[in-house]
Amino acid sequence: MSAFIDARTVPAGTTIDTDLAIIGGGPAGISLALALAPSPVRMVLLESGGMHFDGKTQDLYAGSESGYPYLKLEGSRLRYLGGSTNHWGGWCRPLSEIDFEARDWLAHSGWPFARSEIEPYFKRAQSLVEAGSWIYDDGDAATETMGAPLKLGDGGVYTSWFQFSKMRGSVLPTHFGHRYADDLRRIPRLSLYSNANVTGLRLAPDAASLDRLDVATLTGKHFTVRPRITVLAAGAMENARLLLASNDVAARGVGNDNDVVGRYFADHPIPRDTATLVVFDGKLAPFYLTNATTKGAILRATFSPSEDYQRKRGALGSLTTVEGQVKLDETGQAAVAATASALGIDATGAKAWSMGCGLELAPDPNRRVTLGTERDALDMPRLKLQNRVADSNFAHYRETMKELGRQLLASRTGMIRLNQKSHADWLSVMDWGNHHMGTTRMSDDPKQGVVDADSNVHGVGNLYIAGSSVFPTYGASNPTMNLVALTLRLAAHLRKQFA
Amino acid sequence: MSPPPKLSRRSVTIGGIAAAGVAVVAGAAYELPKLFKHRAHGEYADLVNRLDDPDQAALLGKQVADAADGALREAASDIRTRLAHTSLPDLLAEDAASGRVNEIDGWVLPESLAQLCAMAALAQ
Repeated sequence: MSAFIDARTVPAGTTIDTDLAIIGGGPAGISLALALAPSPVRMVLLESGGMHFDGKTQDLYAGSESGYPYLKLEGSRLRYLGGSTNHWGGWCRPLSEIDFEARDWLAHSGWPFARSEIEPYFKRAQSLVEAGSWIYDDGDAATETMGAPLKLGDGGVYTSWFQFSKMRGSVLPTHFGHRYADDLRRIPRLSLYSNANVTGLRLAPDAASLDRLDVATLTGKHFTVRPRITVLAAGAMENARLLLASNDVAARGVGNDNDVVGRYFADHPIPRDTATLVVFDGKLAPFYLTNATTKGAILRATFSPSEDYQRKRGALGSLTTVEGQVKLDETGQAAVAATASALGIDATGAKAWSMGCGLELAPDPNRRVTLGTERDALDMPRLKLQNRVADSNFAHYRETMKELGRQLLASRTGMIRLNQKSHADWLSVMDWGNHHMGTTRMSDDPKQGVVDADSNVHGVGNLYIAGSSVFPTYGASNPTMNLVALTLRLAAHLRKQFA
Repeated sequence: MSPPPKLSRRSVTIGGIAAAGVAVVAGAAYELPKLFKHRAHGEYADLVNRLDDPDQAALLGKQVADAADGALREAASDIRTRLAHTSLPDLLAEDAASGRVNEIDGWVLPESLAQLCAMAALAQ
């Protein structure tokens, strides 16, 4: 049995030696510990929170935001075991091949490897997020008894599929802390410290390796962890914050010789009511509107631009959902009546639905987190987010939806209204996915990225980073299942390092 | 179980007349609006009158009619040429299939339909 230790009970001044320290007990940290469970590696997992929400611990996340409106930093993530899986929606979809490619129309895009590198880890990641059997874009066949996908003319948009995380008993979705606490307890060489906040990554004097971790509790205890290897898995904001704040040896912070840490922050905008979908015969299969359980999975149909379309048209990724039914105004009714009758279609039973979406953002080095002047209860500098979202991101998406509209007309199935156009329009319907990514991006070039293709921090041999902070390009898919797969790949690499 | 009631010749005849009456009324209800629909006049009347629902098209087309007037003559000529070889529904589906779409008030329409809507608005 492993030890679950409340860090507040650790004598001040203690030094804990270990093979591997994992900072953060979210989906990345927990997946890593589980993956290394069969190995002889001695692990320490340092989790800032406990098993439940605590306001004082959560306040350590507070910071400030400027620029394009964004969520409160302390509101968009959760600081206790399981991390932000404690409030995630459970939406899962693997990144596509194009998401890994350097796209000549998209500056700063591309991973240092192809999707095939993490492909072997998807099935295990799928199991960890409990998203059932692997179906995804075979969803058309899996749901054939429930209805047919919407008939679309040839073109760039197709019906794509999400799957959903589910807990035992179909309680949706999987909260990693509660779900895997017992599994973590069964790992004999793991010590999990709760209420343990890492406040410093202390480099050796030559700055080429990490020497130790400073740990503090909100009750004023301080102790040290001295690991052979450390994996930083605290989320995209905290990973950057810890690296930047640990500036006693390297003045710009750990791994930040090239001023990349904290840059390229990203999330998925999820604007509402982006378009109105009209189906002339009013028949839309139920899996577009709500989750459908079949073949051992929970599925939901969406609309995505194909990879070919993205390459040809220079489009960004997006996933568009069908939401609530809506009534059309006079102009809308005229549009449907005129169009359907001119196409020779009876639209007396037509129905309309509002659509929403999740969008891929173009990487932007100036959308970034930096350290502010305010300090938290542990005397750590709080974060400042400078958010920027270029209108071109929405213009890309609008073109994709126009393509969907064209395909609906070509098949005489229905039509679309593009509901948002101007900067103010998009701002008025904006929401965010709480999918923090990109602040410690991966690149073979230290001037372009913080970690290399093995997730090893450039220049710091024994420090690695796990989680979506290493995503250099983001795709439109929700990150959790993908970051778990990437973490399992890191676990395989670390097993070799410890062998 | 009792046997089904026998139908007399008279009741069949009355029923037939009633059914025919209903059909005539229903047919009239469907066709009369077409007979009395607003007939377009003017330069684009031949095209606008091909629309089943020119009033709805005009309502939509009002939003772009002013801006489109200069280009409409050329568009009308092109549509006339194409309609010599195909039906209006097929022409519009061809537009969409070949990527020729326009927006009116955000609605994505086959390009020719957007032009016809503008013509319908001008014809009113």
